[in-house]
Amino acid sequence: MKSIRLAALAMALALAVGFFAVFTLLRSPGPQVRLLVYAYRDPITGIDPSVEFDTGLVVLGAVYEPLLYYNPLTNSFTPALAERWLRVNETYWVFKLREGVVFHDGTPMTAEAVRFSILRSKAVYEERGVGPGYIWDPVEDVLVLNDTAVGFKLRYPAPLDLIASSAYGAYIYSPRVLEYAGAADPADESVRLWFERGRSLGSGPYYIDYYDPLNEVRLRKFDGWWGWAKVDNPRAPELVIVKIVGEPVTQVVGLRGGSIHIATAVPRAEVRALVGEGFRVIKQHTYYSYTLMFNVRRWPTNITEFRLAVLHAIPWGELIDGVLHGFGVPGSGVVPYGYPGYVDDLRYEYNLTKARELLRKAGLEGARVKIEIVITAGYEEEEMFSRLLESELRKLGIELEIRSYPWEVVKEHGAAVWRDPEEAPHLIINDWWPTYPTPYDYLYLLHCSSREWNWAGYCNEELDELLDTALELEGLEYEEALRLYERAQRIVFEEGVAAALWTIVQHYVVSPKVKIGEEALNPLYMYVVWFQYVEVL
Amino acid sequence: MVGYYVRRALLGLTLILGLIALVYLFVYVAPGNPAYVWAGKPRGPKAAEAIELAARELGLDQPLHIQVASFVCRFLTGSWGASVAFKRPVAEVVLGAFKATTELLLLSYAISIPLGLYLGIFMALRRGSAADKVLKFLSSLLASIPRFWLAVVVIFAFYLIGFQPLGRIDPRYLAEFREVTGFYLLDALLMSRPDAFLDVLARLIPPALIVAVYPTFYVAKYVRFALSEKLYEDYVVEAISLGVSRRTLVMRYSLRGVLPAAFQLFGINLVYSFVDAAVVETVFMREGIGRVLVEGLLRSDYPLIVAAFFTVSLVMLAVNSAVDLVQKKLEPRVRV
Repeated sequence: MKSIRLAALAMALALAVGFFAVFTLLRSPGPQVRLLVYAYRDPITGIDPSVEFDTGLVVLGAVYEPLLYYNPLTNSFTPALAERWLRVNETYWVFKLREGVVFHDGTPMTAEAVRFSILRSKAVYEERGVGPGYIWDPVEDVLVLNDTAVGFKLRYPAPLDLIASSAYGAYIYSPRVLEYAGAADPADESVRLWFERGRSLGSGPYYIDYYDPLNEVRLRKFDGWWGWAKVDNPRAPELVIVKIVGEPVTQVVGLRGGSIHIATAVPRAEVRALVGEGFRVIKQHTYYSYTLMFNVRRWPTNITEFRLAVLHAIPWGELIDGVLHGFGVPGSGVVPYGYPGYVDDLRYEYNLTKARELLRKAGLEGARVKIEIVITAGYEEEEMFSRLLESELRKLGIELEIRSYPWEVVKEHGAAVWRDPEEAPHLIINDWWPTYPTPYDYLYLLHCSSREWNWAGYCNEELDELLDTALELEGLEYEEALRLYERAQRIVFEEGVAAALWTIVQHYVVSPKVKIGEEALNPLYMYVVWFQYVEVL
Repeated sequence: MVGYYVRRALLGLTLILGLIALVYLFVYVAPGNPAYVWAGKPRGPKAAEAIELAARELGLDQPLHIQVASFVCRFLTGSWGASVAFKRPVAEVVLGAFKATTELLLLSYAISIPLGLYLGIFMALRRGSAADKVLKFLSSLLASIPRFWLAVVVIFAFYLIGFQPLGRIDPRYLAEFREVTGFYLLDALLMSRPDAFLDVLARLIPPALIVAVYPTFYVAKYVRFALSEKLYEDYVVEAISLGVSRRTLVMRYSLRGVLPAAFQLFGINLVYSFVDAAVVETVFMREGIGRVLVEGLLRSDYPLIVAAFFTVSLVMLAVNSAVDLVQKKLEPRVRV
């Protein structure tokens, strides 16, 4: 019994020390470091700059740089690692590189590094099919003209400036990665695994100090970055923590308590209250689009009139305010608002009379029809939209069953349309953000060859031809290419195969202790904050 | 005794083998495609080809029995491979998370064991009193309250006094903090930073208290019940009639008969504590094995899921064997 008493005493002592610690810490100013905690919702799926094609962008954007940046809102390019570039002819471009740039391991950035990085992205895709390397498909070779100039020889005309500014697969890094990874072939899996151990070899203003993809990534200021003098921001964070906080409520708690400085997933309904408490909200227009897709291989969504009836039963006017609390832009066609190829008049109206008429044409008026929709679990906007649609369809005698799954499972259900259409849901929501600025990126979701992403199971030779021709024309006659993309979208609109519901306006809730400069955000690089433009006050 | 541990180890090994195979089968039949995740959500014209290649690399194109057999063999020979979703060595991911959870559970049980026993004895000695009734009510209430709710309430309570116990350490320390052992309390001491140590401790205590709630009150209720029964046994009644105080009887004699089972209960409760820890870690923004499991399950990351289950099972096996040893020491009549 003595031991129990002792243990109880020890426990009481430990608790006392704990509470003493709390109160001591409350009074202590803590260690001084210019720190920024950026709360992001999803775990990081990878950090190989040539392979990563998902949430790793949040880290890659701060650690690596492409040749150029592009802003679709202003239709302008910003030089990054390339100072100047020239389209010599339809199939040859020259990029003059910035001098005095070094990678995080201290090696200089040269034309050879550019050649290596781009050809590795391309090779990994060609050999293994992974990563975004297909964006470099037009490139036949990258020629090293001298230490600070590269020439791009193309197989066919392409808008290389847009490709070089891609959010994925266009980052430049040191070729010494081969040596570090002990690999001879750039496409070797060991190179990818070397990066995934938490190493960075870019030229960006921050480098990876600690990498735990499920919990947090720590980025440290890279004093050797070429742009510090240009940015002239002595208050830039010295340490950035990208903290994975999946629970939106925890992001709010973290903001209020001061342990989070920038939050990306605060529930939209909470934003007003936080503004009242002194937090700032930055609304960023994005190209993050939610597209409703119909399974055209399963009854009754294989009937065009039925699909159109459903589309006319969507209360479009209520989506932005009711579902997104104002943080969105209504969809039109498939390409999002403000993006090249956007068409403004491809909207359905909310009209239940018309919907009933379409159902009658489909021979389904008065019939008891049950359809299902698959949405991503945890996405409040998809859930609210589904509930809204469920209630509207009930007015038409259509029962909607809502199924919510983790994203990976949603994808499996979507792709099942090609294997067994009866296994795939009638309706599914696909959220998508762009790779590089081409309408093809969004319309590819309906291309017959896109068996992994065309969750509608839609095949239309005319549409495919329009899309392929438009892509080829982008490097030659851009305006004509855009016209073809528009025609393609009109076909999709008339057939009611898919429709963009909305484009997200991303809200960043920012602590009063932090100031985000205008240059810190660019809608093409989703969720990337260029921390060098952030001031920690 | 040695024979017992050999038998126990063999049984444990069989159980773990079965568990690995079973978890693999569950992931196999569950929705989701690990090949697609391993390929990194491929797009473009080669997407289908990439998934096929990934399936070959992962051995998913083999018949199921070969997949299971080769996976179990690889796993037992220490080749745990890379996480399908995060492309990092599974052992590294699981070990890092496991250390964080262990730190939390160690403190939880350091609180729970003495407190649970003390409360149980206290209630048994005062059976029927107001204090007993209040504690009985509290123990039922606290043991049944959802842990995530309790976690939110605790965070809010600390928020009101101006302290936020989120994360394992104040992020400002991370500028100089270096993980040596992965146990932050220890690492702070190794850095000779008492302020960092206090910070880690202050952030550890609130979640540890929440995880401690269930085992504490569960065991307290058991001890109260078992001791109360013993107090009516013939030898106790006779001893009381001879003038021995109830307190002395409980402390010297009756408790001995209760402690072995109480420790068994702590051992069994550890499974629930792992589940509680997973919930609490999420709310308190702490890393841990629960988070690894959840993320693995969401992404069909079967090497990660199996490794996490394997690690937890090993711990359970070790703890329950240790509990048996404690039981044997406390109660010589027990045969193992």
